[in-house]
Amino acid sequence: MDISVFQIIWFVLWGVLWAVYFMLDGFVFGSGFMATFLAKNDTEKRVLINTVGPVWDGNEVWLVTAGGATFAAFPTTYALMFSNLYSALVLLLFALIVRGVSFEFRAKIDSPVWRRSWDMAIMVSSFLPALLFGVAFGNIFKGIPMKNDFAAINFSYDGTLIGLLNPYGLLTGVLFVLLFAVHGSLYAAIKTTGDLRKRSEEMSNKLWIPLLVVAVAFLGYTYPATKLYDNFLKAPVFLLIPVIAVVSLILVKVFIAKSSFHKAFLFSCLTIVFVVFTGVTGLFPNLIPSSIDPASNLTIFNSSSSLLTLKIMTVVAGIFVPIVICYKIWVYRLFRGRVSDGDVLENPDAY
Amino acid sequence: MQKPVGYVIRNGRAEMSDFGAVLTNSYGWIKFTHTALSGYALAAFLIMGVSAWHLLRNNESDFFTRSFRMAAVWAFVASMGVAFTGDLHAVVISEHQPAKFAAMESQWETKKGAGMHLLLVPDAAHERNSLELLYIPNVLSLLAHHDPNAQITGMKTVPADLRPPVLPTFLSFRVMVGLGTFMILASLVGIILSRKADFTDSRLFLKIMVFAIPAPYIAQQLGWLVSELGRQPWIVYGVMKTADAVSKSISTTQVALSLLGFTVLYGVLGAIDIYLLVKYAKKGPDKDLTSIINVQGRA
Repeated sequence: MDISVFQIIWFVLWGVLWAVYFMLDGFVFGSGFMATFLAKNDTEKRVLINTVGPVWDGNEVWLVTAGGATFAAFPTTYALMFSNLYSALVLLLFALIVRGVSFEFRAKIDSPVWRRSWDMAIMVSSFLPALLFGVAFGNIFKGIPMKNDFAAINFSYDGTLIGLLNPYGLLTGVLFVLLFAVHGSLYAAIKTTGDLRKRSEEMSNKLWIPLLVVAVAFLGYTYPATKLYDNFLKAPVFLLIPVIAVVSLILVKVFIAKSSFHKAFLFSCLTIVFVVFTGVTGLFPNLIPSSIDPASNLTIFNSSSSLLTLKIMTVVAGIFVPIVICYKIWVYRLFRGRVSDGDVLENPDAY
Repeated sequence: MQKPVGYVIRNGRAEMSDFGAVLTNSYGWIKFTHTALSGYALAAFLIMGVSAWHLLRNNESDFFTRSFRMAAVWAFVASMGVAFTGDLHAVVISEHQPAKFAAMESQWETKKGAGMHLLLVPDAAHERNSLELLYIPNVLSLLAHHDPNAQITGMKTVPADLRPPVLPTFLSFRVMVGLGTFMILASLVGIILSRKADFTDSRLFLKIMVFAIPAPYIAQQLGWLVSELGRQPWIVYGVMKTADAVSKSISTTQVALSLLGFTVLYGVLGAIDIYLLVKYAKKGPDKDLTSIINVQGRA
């Protein structure tokens, strides 16, 4: 088979990995930075952490895989992305480190100052990645100021960390934050009991309207700010993807109104996945476009690894991705119940 | 990075040509087993140290004698394994990275049937050792090539700009090997003493074992230093220099700030972690086993 077949396979996988990552870690970010508003006492905060306890680190596997797939399938993009967006990605990494540690450390000492400090750490380290991932993807959709001469192997970048905080980048950041806030509230609604559950249900309902407003603004602003719509105009059949995203978002509200929170959460998953698919479809065949020179775009064709590498990776992914999916399904089935106040109070070793 | 295999330089980059060669790279497997076994040794020393601390205070002596015994066997087997894979590692290094080997041993002259000084002080500026004591003949050749008369490449044959920093590589290697030797001996003594009825009376030994907790941690870090300092100036050994691998779009300020950030973050998290480890280690075993059964959200 021709190399372009494998390049396209890995582009699709790249999009799927990011979409699944945001779907899974999204509710951990959301319940993390919404914890202050959802949980009113120490026990409720512990309940919230325990709902994500068995799954949060497994969810990060998808981030590692998304990064790993970029490294192995599109090494030029990987190298330039991590160099050009260095400061933003270091900040993201710090936040992800602090978040994981906060979950583990918070319950270890029974002191209000200790626990309040980790609550603050969880809030900041959950909010920052949600915003930064959005800002990063907004800038990727828009293109970053880089000039790449692939033949001469000469690459330059003219951006700064502050430059990434442009209006479109920030709007995408706010979109991610609100998507995850609703997603996290819905997750808390289906995983907890009592007052915490009630507050989470109400919160998901309250945040839906701002989410819709920002989503509409994002879809509108995307037209002048990016070239994402070009692909959809060329091949209108792909318009199905953003349509599914919008319909799912509306169904989230429909099921919240009917108090069917499991269904609302399911459609919130679909919304996130199809928002990412919309962006990725619009990017094709670019992975990261250049905002100053179309010839400098990092595409799946000019930044992929060799045919041999792509073939081996396809075989490896074909074996291991199904295994990963199986154990993830098993874990979510095993921990499918709700966590109550009693569960954490009876168990001194819970988070 | 240390022993690149299975690739060709094509299209201005290194492309994989032989996946099998990458999977069967001896350097990778030796390093993996060496590192993994050192992890087992580290865990066993932590358990021995914590057990010793409680035994010194007569806390749950039955429980902690048993845990000490088990850990001592683990520690001995793992430390021996670390030494054995370390020996294999030295052979691969002397073959593929002679400059690293010369730095580890501070060996300046190329020599057949080279011996080894148990005590020496490197003097890189004058390409010699300013102090050499306690010479054991032929031992270096034996260690490096498993042949007492084999030739050892000295640092003087390596061009000055391709030499790793000798003093830190040498010191890291020596101290690592010293700590490794100590760990083998300490765990062996531990196996013997912990089987005696009056084990809890061996107070000096128990005290030593509490203070030995950091030994494997330090040895691991030093091993890492040998590995990475010793391969300088290369980032991909013999193919690409570290200086040529620097990203052009990142400023020194960015690197300095991120390094500072990492140092502060890991410093703070490390301090908290040690505090919590001490707290839980002092707490002793859980008497009520039901409390460690996980109930989070299980249906």
